[in-house]
Amino acid sequence: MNKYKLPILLMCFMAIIISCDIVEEPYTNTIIQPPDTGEVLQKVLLEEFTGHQCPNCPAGAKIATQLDELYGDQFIIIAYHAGFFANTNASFPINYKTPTGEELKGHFGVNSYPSGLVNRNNGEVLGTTEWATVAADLISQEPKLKLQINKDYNTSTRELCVTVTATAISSMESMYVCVFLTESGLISPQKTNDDSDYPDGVIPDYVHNHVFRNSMNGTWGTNIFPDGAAIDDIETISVNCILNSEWNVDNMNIVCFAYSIETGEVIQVEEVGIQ
Amino acid sequence: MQNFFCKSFFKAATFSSLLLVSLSNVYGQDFIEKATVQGNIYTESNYYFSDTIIGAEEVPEYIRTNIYGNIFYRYKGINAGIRYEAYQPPLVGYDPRYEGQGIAHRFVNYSDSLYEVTIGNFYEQYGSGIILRAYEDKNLGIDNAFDGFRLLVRPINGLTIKGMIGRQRYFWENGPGIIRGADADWSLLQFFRPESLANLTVGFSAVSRFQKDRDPLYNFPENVAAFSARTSLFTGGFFFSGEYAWKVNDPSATNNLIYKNGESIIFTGSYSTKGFGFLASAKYIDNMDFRSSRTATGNDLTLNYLPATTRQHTYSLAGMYPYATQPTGEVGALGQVNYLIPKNTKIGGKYGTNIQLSASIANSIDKEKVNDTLAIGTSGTLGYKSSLGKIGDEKYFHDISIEVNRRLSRDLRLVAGFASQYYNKAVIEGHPGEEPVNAWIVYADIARRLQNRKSIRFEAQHLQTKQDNGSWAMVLTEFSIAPKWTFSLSDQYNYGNEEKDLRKHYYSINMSFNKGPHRLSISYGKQSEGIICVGGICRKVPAAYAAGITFSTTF
Repeated sequence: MNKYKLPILLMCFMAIIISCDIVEEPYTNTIIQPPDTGEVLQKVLLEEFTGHQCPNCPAGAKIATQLDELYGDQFIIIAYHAGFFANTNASFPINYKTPTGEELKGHFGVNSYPSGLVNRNNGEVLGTTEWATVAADLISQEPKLKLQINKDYNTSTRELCVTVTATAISSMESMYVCVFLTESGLISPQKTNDDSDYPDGVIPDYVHNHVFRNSMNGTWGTNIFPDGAAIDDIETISVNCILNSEWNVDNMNIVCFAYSIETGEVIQVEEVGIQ
Repeated sequence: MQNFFCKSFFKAATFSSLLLVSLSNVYGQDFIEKATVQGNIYTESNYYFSDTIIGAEEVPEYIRTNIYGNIFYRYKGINAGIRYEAYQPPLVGYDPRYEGQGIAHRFVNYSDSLYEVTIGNFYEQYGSGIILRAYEDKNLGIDNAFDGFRLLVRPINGLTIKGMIGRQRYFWENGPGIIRGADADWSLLQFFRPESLANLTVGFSAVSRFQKDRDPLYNFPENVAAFSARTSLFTGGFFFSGEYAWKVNDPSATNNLIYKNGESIIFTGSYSTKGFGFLASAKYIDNMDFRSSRTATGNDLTLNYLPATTRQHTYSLAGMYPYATQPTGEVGALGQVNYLIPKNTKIGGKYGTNIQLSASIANSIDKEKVNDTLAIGTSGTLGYKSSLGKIGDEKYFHDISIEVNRRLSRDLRLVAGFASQYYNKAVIEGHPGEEPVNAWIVYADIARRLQNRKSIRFEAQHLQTKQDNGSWAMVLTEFSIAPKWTFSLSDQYNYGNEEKDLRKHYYSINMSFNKGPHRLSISYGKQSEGIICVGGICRKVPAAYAAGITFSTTF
């Protein structure tokens, strides 16, 4: 009988190291938004890479929307339509691609869709199921910078002037500030793999939101605090541009973010509507 | 019992000490002089040209290179090894995240008749692999080796118990999940009737993954486990095996974050006797994609392997539409018969004729809504309801083929075949809305031995289809001077493409030289965009136009 003791013991030991969690409903978490106290909050920027010929991208946009609903104003989205999946053809005629989107796609090495960067954290391109976890970590951090956007839009000339004021909350390295424009509510076809509702794989009237339109100061932005910033240091930049006549200003936002010159990571982000 | 443990731990401790002192005086000179060192090196470099018409994109580096080198050390029961890899940068079609170089694999292992222990990197498979298989396949760009500890014990005759803990390789790092696994495999006849020529085994496996949950949206299980039970019987020419696996809720990027349990069952049976062989296999897979990270996609961090029940074709046009196993849900079956028509008969001819018939099919599984309001597969829900073995309406794939292999004379051999295939591109490649491909393929391969160890081979293939890129024709000729030289010239012509501009030739010229363990080959040509699959696991291959050089050697 002795010779059976070892296998029995080994099997018992191995049974112990195997474990599992059975999750019961509800499968999703509920977070109650804290009341607005006027304090500066750390905000998070999701830069999503997408395309109207990418069947998995509506699922990615859905996760982005869930995070937007969860974190409210603290979560800001830019959707770059770039790469092969954003190419146009007879079925997908509207071109949402931009030189900046293509440049960022190449710079960050985006190869799989949908994917995105959350505050450009470690410069890592993340799959959709990773966004929430990284966003949760970043959003709980203490803010280091306050960004304030002032805008002036002339409806007749379509000229937009934006002034961004950056106030250091703690001492920091030098940084760049980007001022980007996005548009929501754009309706055009989008591929999907949700075959239960769209068996032919195309949503004909899909609503594209947070579509990147243009940068007001280039892909990489404007350098501020060139020698670093001490607490309460303030710097202001002003940029302007004429908006394309095809863009619907009522659905457009100004997204302004600052990223570290050393790490490339986004320090703070703000968003306001043009109108 | 106590003695066994003492001996085991003593050996383990000795082994560890050996590692720490690194070839110290414990074994003295024997450790060097009586040891065996073996290895191999493989390098492949391509110079890329751009061809916008076939979709071969410009490669900024022009030259890309993959390098692999293994060195193995063996002394008595001790084995150690390292593998150096370099991707400067990776060849087109390989994941760019491989870029870099370094020691990608290192291990030390000690084994004797009772046990085997490994630290460092190792590969592992439990049963047919449906809950755990770590392996390497360079063609697929897969290496999901574990980095950790593995123990194997053979405590009584016929019984093998394995345990492991570790993390999986993720390019140049390890994945986030900690994997724990255990497996017991018992050969009953070997234990009860050691003299028996037959073999009956039973086995049980369990694997679990721990991955922290910090997601604010979903309540993810941090520990996800899978279990399997299996049996196999071998007697005479008959073989049968079956395995059932079950996995608890594992919402992940590949199943659209649904919380349904997964299950899978696989059967294989075969019979062979002189001149006749029969193989049948069937499987049912439901939500069984299992990875060491819930966020992984593609071929990243796969923990299990769901075997293919489709035929793997040798000839390129017959393999142009290969089937990729659908881990989220699939029912499949394969039947194959091999028959050798005896020699010196009217039909079999002077040398006999081998005929292979095979048929395989893959379908969706039946899925029902959880309730009236939720669509099937909605994230953050159970996803759908299903019943084990219940087949769905959608066909994914079929392949019916016949191949005849006949020696026509002492120096002349003919292989000819025909295949009819259905390929649901929308599902298999994840391109919704794409039209399924119906293809007919015929091929013939004739080889003739010439004098002075020379031989020549000619291949002609044709694929007929109205879908996808239309019809293809291919010819290949190969001339060999054994054992050193091989020259080949081939061309695939996409003459049936609806777009006239895309009716392109994909030609290729190859030369290889072998001497002893060394092999050098040079190639130049174009490759069409496609998919390569090994055992149902696939990798997308982009179009390429390149000149390449490959060198391999063993020592």
